[in-house]
Amino acid sequence: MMKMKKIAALALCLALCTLMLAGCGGSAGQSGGSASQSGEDVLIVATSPDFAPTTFVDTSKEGQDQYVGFDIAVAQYIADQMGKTLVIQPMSFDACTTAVSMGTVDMALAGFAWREDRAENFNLSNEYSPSDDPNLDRQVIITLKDKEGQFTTPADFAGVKVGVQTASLQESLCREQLPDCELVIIGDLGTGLLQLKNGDFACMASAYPTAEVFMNNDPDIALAGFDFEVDDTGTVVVMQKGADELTAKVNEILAKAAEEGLMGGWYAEAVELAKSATASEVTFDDSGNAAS
Amino acid sequence: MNFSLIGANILKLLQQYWQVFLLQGVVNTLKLTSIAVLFGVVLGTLVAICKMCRFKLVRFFITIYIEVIRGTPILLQLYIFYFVLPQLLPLLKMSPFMWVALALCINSSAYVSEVIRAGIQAVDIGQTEAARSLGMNSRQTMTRIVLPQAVRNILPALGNEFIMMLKETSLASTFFLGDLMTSYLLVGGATYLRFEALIIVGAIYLLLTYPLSQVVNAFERKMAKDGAD
Amino acid sequence: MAQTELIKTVDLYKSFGRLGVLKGVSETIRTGEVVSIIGPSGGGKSTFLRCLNLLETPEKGQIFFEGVEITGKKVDIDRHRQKMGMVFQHFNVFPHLSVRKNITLAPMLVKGKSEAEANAQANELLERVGLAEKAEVMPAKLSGGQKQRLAIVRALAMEPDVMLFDEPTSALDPEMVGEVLEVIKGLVKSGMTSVIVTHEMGFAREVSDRVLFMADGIIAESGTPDQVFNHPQNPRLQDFLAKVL
Repeated sequence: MMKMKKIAALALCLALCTLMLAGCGGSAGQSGGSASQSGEDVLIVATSPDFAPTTFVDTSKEGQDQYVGFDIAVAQYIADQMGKTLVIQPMSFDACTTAVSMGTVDMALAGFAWREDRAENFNLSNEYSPSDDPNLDRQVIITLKDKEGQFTTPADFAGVKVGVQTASLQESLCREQLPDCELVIIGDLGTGLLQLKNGDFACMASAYPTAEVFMNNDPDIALAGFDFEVDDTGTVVVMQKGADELTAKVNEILAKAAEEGLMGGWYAEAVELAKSATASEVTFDDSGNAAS
Repeated sequence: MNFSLIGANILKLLQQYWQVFLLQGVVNTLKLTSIAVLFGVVLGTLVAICKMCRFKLVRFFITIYIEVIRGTPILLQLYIFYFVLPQLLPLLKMSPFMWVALALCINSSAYVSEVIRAGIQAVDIGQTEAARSLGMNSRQTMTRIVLPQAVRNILPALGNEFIMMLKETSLASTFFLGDLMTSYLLVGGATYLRFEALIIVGAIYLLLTYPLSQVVNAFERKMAKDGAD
Repeated sequence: MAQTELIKTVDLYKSFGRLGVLKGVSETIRTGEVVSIIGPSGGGKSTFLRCLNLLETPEKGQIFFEGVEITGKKVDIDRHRQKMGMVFQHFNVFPHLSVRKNITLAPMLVKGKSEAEANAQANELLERVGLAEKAEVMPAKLSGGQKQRLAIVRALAMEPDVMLFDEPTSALDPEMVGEVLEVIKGLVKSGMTSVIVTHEMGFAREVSDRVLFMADGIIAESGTPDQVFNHPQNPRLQDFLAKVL
């Protein structure tokens, strides 16, 4: 008797869950293509603001102003060009794509690289990148200072543990170009950095701008000496599958920004901001209390 | 790993970002937790009453409600409340903060209802029998005899629920709602001093939960002493 | 003695799961009577007693109390229970209430007595069982025997027409059995109709007008203490007495 009740309850739970899932699939389909539930005059952009200098938070500011970084500048420009007010909706990196597919937001900018599976499930804009600085396109391996420059060819990585962010561009690069290394999948680069310093793996793959921030902040970190071969490493705007009109519009705006040479300036500004986030020095007064 | 810089870095972060951690992080974490547990208790009491009511159908649906909430990850529930419900209920204009707070309330209600039910059922059935045999009706028995004794069991468990919820609000950082964990993401993301930020946030969580758990423990001891029968 | 029927049961059946506990019990308790129920464990004694005030609901059969069929539909059982005091094996005093409040709660709540009235009654009752100086303490501070005496006067405070005792001394330390039995004895002597489930054979023999022997869900034998204890007919009863006496 009790057992029967339990089984029945369980069955209903499952039914309820499927219903919920079916419900959200349906609603996403309905809003597909068109803009989200937002009004006509706002552009809602999802981002994961924990990734300086691409997208991060200036904690000295409040509200929408606090979101800064290269991608935020790009998003601002897109909104301006469309005559809309930009509304940033912050969420974790994974949630960003969910938000786009659900139609909760109009688009997501969070340093998304072009990837095949991403292109299958979303409308991706043309790639945009901050400029002429070749460093920005580099994909590199970082390691601890004492191993600086010791890994220069794929053969050097035979049997070496390399940390890569899950489902990232670096992961696919490692699989293609460093077939003999031992991949260690990590959740985010910040944690990865800790693991690297902890000796969990000898090397970690990263985009050069990120590596540069790491190295600026931590004298222990250095380049391993290996550069991945990359064709083009720009990032893309992620939009809902089927939002072709919006995608075309965004591509047009991105092209315009590149033409006018705006990207480099935005990027430089973002890097400056990111540096100032850690710039203040700690000094000690006589009483031993920290003061700036 | 090189620990020599960590101390200095932590000071640096504290100095530069103490408002983010304390004013924003702690305040929002406590706010979310309080809302979740407070409304969770109100809702959970109703759920517990329904779960013990005499109508089979009501009990059946309440059981589903409780099992679905307790049987799915809270993160999944946050996603549903954040992404799905606002679309299903477009007329309900609520901020993301409110949606997440609501999700936490609903989550809390399921756990609280079980705490309340367990607390009530832990009261010796003999107490009910004694009260009923004196001619007290079921409502009088519940309010005058069972509930006052159940409170002994329920209050410490509610304290623990508060502590649990305090930690679970960290999931609100998925949507950067300003809780302590968000502080970690923001500061860590801007400075890449993630480890240092993590230590600071961890210490703050401990500073919040430790005294609370001490209060709960003291209360439990007092209740155990008073209740010795 | 005016031998009016106070409680009458007709063909009661009750089972827990597949286990039949009462298999057709018909019995009548008359006003002023003192009836003890003895028998082996699992014989249905306590279940029968608990059926009398419907703490257990019989599956089949009828129970009449003061002429009203309380097993019928639309019966306000709370009203009838006021008239049936019950004393439990495990006392079941209310641990969150003081000794005095244990006694006064139900009369005030159920019968609408004023606090002064209820307190005066409580004082009198506590005096009667030697607990007057314990009125303000919490039950946790009482010994087992004191708790059971409290439980008895708590039931008496409702001024019942019958007292049901469910193994009132079984959970007590041996040295406390006497004090509780004394209280019950005093009560019985005052003319209170009582039904007592007990393992105290000497006590049953001494105070009872009638003794029921229950085994296997039926009343296997009944009669005066002399008949039951000195001239048992039923082999089960003979066997039982041989073991306990």
